[in-house]
This record gives sequence, C-alpha cells and structure tokens, in this order.
Amino acid sequence: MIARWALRVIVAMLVGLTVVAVRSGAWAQSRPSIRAAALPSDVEVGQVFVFRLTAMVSVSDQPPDKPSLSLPAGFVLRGGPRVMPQTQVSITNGQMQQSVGIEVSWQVEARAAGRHTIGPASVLWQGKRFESGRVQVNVHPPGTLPRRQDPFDLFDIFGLPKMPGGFPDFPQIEEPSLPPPDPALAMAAPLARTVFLRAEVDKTDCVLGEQVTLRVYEYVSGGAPRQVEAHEPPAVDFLQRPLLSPDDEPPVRYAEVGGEMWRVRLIRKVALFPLKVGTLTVGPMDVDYQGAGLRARTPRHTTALQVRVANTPEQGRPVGYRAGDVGQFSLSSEVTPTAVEQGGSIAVTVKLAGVGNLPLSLDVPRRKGVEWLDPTTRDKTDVTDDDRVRGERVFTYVVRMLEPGAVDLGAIELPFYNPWHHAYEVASTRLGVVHVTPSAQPVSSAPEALDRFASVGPLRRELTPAPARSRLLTDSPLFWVGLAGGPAGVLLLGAAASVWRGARARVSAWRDSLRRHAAVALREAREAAARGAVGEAAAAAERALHIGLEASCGLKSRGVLRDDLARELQSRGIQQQQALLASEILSRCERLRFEPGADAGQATKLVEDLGNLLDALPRPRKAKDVSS
Amino acid sequence: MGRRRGTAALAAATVVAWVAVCAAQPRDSADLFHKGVESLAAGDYDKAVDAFEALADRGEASPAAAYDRGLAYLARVRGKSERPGDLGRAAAAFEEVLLVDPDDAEAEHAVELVRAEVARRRARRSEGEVQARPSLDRIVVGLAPEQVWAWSALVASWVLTAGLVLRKAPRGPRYLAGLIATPIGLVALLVFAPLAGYARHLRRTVHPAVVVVPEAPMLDASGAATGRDPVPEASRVELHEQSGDLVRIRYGTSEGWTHAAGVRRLRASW
Repeated sequence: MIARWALRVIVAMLVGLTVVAVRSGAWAQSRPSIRAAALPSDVEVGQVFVFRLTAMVSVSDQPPDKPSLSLPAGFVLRGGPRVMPQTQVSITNGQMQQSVGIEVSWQVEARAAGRHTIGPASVLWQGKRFESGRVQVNVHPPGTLPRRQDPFDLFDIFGLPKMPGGFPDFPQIEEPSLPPPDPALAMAAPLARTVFLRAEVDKTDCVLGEQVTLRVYEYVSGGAPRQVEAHEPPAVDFLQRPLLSPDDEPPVRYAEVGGEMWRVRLIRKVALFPLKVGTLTVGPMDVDYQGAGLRARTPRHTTALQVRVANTPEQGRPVGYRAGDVGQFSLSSEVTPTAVEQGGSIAVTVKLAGVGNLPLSLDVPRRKGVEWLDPTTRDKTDVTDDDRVRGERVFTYVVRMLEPGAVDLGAIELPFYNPWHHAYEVASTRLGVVHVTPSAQPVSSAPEALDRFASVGPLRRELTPAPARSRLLTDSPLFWVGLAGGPAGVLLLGAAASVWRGARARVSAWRDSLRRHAAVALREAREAAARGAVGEAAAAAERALHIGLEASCGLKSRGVLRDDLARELQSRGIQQQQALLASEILSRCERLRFEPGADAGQATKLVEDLGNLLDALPRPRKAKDVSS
Repeated sequence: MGRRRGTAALAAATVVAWVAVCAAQPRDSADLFHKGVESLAAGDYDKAVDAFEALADRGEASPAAAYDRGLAYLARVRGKSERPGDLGRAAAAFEEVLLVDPDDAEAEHAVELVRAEVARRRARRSEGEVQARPSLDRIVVGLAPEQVWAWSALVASWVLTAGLVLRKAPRGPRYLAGLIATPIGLVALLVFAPLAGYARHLRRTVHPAVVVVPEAPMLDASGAATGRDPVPEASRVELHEQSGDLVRIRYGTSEGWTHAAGVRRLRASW
C-alpha cells in the first residue's frame, strides 16, 4: 500500500517537473531577451546621446526585426535606427548557448531639462511586437554637467588647467561609432532572409573585347552562416580573369537594406572579356549556406545578368585591326645585335604593355631576306586600382637575316580600339636597321623543312578528259517505278485474287442458299400448277414451304407435328397469322396431294398463297446452308 | 536580187564562222592547258593561274586542268608570292578534281595539306580551330555513295517482292522463306529508299563550294553580323541560295549568309 502511494507521488513529481520544464522552455522560447539603455544617461540640454536596444533569441530562430522607439516630449530623434546583427555565445554550467539578434541604436537629442523616462522600444518577432523596459535619462541645463575626464588625456590626468592655446578638446566618445554604411551597396529590401547574394556588372553595354567587371556580394544579417558549397557563375561567352585571389579577404562593409544594417562582403570579382557580339549572359552563382540563423542547408543564388556586346565602329577602323583588341596599349622594342653576318640571327624583343585584354600575337613586318621564327612570350599581369586588367606581354622573336646590306626591319604596329577615347589608335614601335655583312658561304633562303607542300603530287601534262560518269540510278524514273512496282504488283495481284475468290464464294453460297432452294421449289410448284399437275404442284409447294420456314427461322418443320407447328413457329419469332397460314398451307398441300378430285385452280391458289407467305416471312440475317 | 544575194552570203559566213569556232574550241583548250603547264614549269605562276582560270571559265571539266590550277595557286604560296585567298582557291581546285574523280588520291592529299596549312596559320594567329560538325542527316547519307543507297533499295525491293510471292505458297520451306524475307525486305526498303531519295535531293539542291577568303563571316539576310564564328579559308561549304551579293551557306550545322565573292562554287557540280 505504501509502495503504491510512493509510486504515485514519484510519478506526480515527474509529471510536475516535466510540465514545469516544458513551460519554462516554452516561455524561454516565447519571447526574445530585450535590453535597453541610454548612453550616457546624464546629458545636457542640446546634447545628442544614444538609445540602444539589444534583442536576442535562440540561434535556431529568426532574429527580431523592425525596431521602433517612441520618444516623449522634450526629445528629438536625430538619427537611426541603425540595426547591427549580433551573435552571442555564452557558457552556462558548462553548456554553450548561442544566440542571435540585433542591436539597434537611435541618436536622440535632449531638448528639455529634467528627469525623463524614454521608451519602451520594441521589436517585431514571429509576428508579435515585444517591448523593452523604460530608461531613465537625466537632462541637465546647458553647461551644468561636469566634464567627463578623458582617461587618455595626459595633460588632464592630474586635473591641471589646460595649457592656453594648447590642444583643443577632442570630442567625447559617447558610443562606439557604427561603421558608415556604403550607399553604393544599399538596397530597398533584402532578397532573402539572413543571407543573400547580389551580382552586378559595371556595364551592360560594351564593345567586343572590352572588359566588363563582375562583382558578387554576400549580404548577411544576424547569425554567421558559412558557405558549404559554391558554384561559380557560368560565362562561356567571355574570357574570364579573376581579380580576387583566394588569399584576398576584402574588408567587411555595411549597407542599409530595407532600413536595417547588413554586413556585406565581396566574394567574387572577375574581369570578363566578351568573345562574341550579341546579348551575352552571365549565369547565376549558386552557394549553399549552413549555420547560425538558418534552419538547414539553404541555397542562395544570384540573378543572371545580360551584357549587350557590339562590334567596334566600322568608321575609322584601321587596316590590320583584329576584333577584340580593345584597351589601351603601347609597344616598345629592342633589337640585338644590330650587325650580323648573312645567314645569322638576331633577337627582336617586343614589349606590349597596357590596360585591357592583351593581344596574344603581333603582326611582324615581312621583308624579303628576313625570316621571322615563331616567338616565345612572357606575361605579367596585375590589376589597377579601378579593377582594370593591366599587364605586359613580351614577345621574343628569332629573326634570320638572309640577305646582306642595311636591312630596315620596319615597324610593328598594333591597331586597337580605345573604349575610353571611343576611337581607334595604333601602337607602334620601329625596329630599326640591321647591318648584314655578306657571307662567303651560300645561304639558303628557307629551310627545306618549311615547305609544307613538298609532298604534293607532280604537274599533270596531259589534258585528260573527265571520266565518264555513269548515270545515277535515282535519276531514272524507272528506278522508282521498279522500286515500288514489285511489291505493289504482288500486293495488287493478291488483292485481285482475293476479290475474285470472294465473289465466287458468294455466288456459290447464293446458289446453295435455302431461300434459293425455296424459290426453285416454288417455281416448280407454279409450273406444275400451270400444267395442271396438282399432286406435283402440292408436293413442290410443301417442299418450298418447309425450306422457306427453315430459311426464315431455322425450324426444320418436317419433324414437327402439324398441330404443334404454329406454336413452334411463333416461339421462333414468326407472327401468329403467318404461323397459322403456314400450318393451313401444309394441310392444303396434303389434301391436294391425296384428293383425286382436286382441280388446278386450287393448286394455283395454293401456290399464290404460298408465294405471298414466303415473301412475308422475315428474312434471316444469314442464310443457313441446306446441308446444315 | 542583190539583197537576196547579200543575205545568203551573210548566212553562209555565219555558218562557216560557227563551224570554225566549234572546230577551234578543243584546240584552244589544249593550247591553254599546255600554256599553263609551261608557265608553271617555268616558274611564272601568275601566268599559269591565268591560263588555268581561263580554262575553268570555258567550262573545261578535265581533272588534270583543275589539279594543275590548284598546283599553280600552291606554287604562288610556296614561292612567297602568295595573294590572299590562294590557299582557298587551291583547295577549290583540288575539290573539283575530287568531284569528278573521288578516287584521285593526289588531289585528296593536296587538299588535306592545304587545310592543314590554313589551320596552322590560324593557330599562329591564336585563332581557335573552328569545328564544323556535320548534321546527323549529312552524316547518315554520307556513309555511302548515292548509287549504293539506290542499289540497296532495289535489292530490298526484290527481296520484299520475293517474300510476298513465297508467302502465297502452301506451308513448307517456301512459305517459311517468304515469312522471313517479307519483313526483312520491307524494313530494308523503308531504310534505303528514303536514303537514296534524300541523297538525290541533296545532290540536286545543294551545291558544294569552298571559302576563298581568309575568313567568310556569317551574316544575317540583311548582311549584319550575327556573332557566329566565321568560316575559315579552304573550308568546304554548301551553297543554298543567292540574294544580291550574299549567298546562304551551310557549314556543318551552322547556316548563314556571307559575301558571294568569298566562296567559290565548284564547277563540276553545275
């Protein structure tokens, strides 16, 4: 008994504890933790101070938003609210608790002296508005508030009077200042909660080969989501050059998005050089996030961007301009040595420098007796302060001098389109003159190996006629007739034979049909009646009636008693009048056959009645074969 | 009377002149050909080109003339006196030889060398290789000559006919053979007859041509740039129609308009 009571008490305690725990947990999650403060709480009239509100919730919840502050008379709002995302980690009893939320600041100016109460401030969370406590602020008349001692003012550390004409007072730091928001990154509304991406290009119209800079920003509000997977924005119609190295960590900036302050980080900066004209697309960048402020793995992506690429203008396009050579370039060169023996080689080093997509090759001046071999190239590129690709490409040519004398190598020219000047320009460098001394040994003008057509066949010296071409089969109508004629002929013949056989079968069936037999018997009866052969007419009429009945309803009436005949016929769908008439005609047939005094008129009447009856009998859907 | 006599004399003179022209035509072609051969052998490549081009203008379909014309253009390239488009014109000449005689191995080798040289030059100018992927219909039809498709269709028709006939036989080996031959012949006929017809259609409606400028731009019907890759020199294209100075060409699966002067229609296909 005692044990049972003890058990009940333990169960009740456990249930009570569970309810308390659940209710406390539910309460803990049912409202955010909100703190408010005025910094400082003692101000003079006309002084601006900060009213700060901090609202934190569990890391698994969405942070609060939409802060609001109501000010009493005597205070004027000078700025704010500025919303800063917050993340807090605390360890209580060995358990780590993480919370997210916002810290909101308003700049408030005191206008009336006295002891005032400000607030409450409030935030919106999960559809409900939660308020902070009220905050006391003491507003003193102007000049009555003791000056706060600056602990870092070495000149005032002992309360000494200030040096006349000395350093002016530094402004008092009332509140750790928020970083200034970047208006260029501001947005009217966030694209998603907690974290989103935004991509932009610095221009949407450009010419073929002109640099377009793509930037992708990551906006974060509250929490600390981390990237778990990222897919770069596809841009197959562009030559791409990343402007951020993996080691680069651009500074975090802040921007106002929908009235709140978001952290903004530049995560991609890519120089794009269009490879074709038309409307080209930069695809979306996809990033999956996880972590504080997000319930699960959350995908985010940028929107696709379009860039309209046009050809450079045709007007003024210099000869030798190659599509895509857009930028601002310069050429310089060095030739060593400038004196060489015939057949010897010199080195021509051409340095191409400038801003833009550096051309991959140069057109060298072709001169008689000067053979340019393929160059080796060396590149060095970096990025200007305004994110332009800048660099230099050094081409080193080996040039064979095959003819003696003072050989003017000419100049290397690079026509390009300058998008900043909207005009074509030509970078040029003169290579100068090389003095080639004659060689005693003959110099081959070009190595044999360079003749890439040496294996071409010999000259043909006879004007041979073109080989006769056989007429193609498909050009002959007979081919197509023959192609279809064989199978079609067989099929047509088969069909004709089938039709012939069917016709013959139908004729044969008609000949063998009961109705035909009945008609034949009836005709014989008529002929016998006409001849006056009464018995013969009656016999033929009886046969015609039996066959006609069988043809009409399938009844073999020879095996049926005459008294039962009318009933049997009615049971097979023959009308009563016709059934009775059939029975009567059979009786008359018997009488005529065996009555010696019967005359031809009775036989004729019988045959007529029989003919009418056979015509009136219903026709079966399908005639039955006599043999059946 | 005098007027009649004058008319008769004029008619006689016309007939005599016509007969003389007809008689002189082959001799002039042979003379032109030998003149071209001699110029080419002597290193006068320009004269050789002129002679062989004159032969082509006369409609001379001799593969030797077309082959030597290609050699003349190649000689200018080899002799460092190349003019723009020489490689393309050489390729066109060798392609004409192959149109007349598809088994001409020397012409096939020569045209391969020309295209390799064009590709090498494009690579030196850092211009990407332009891949011309033929469309599926061209690939399938090109698997065999038109004559092969035609004979295959004819054989398939015969097999189908025999199968249909044998199916009428009483049950036995002949009937069984008919059962087997009928579907085989039917399927083969349904495959080969359209192929033969499509090959004929392409032969009669599509005209081969070769690009004879360094690059043939792909334009739209109004002549504006489309942004598609230009067709490299010496590439074989299909000519579809002409509108003013523009011709509609097909290169692989890419279709567009280009300047008529940039492509040379192969003579043997006229």
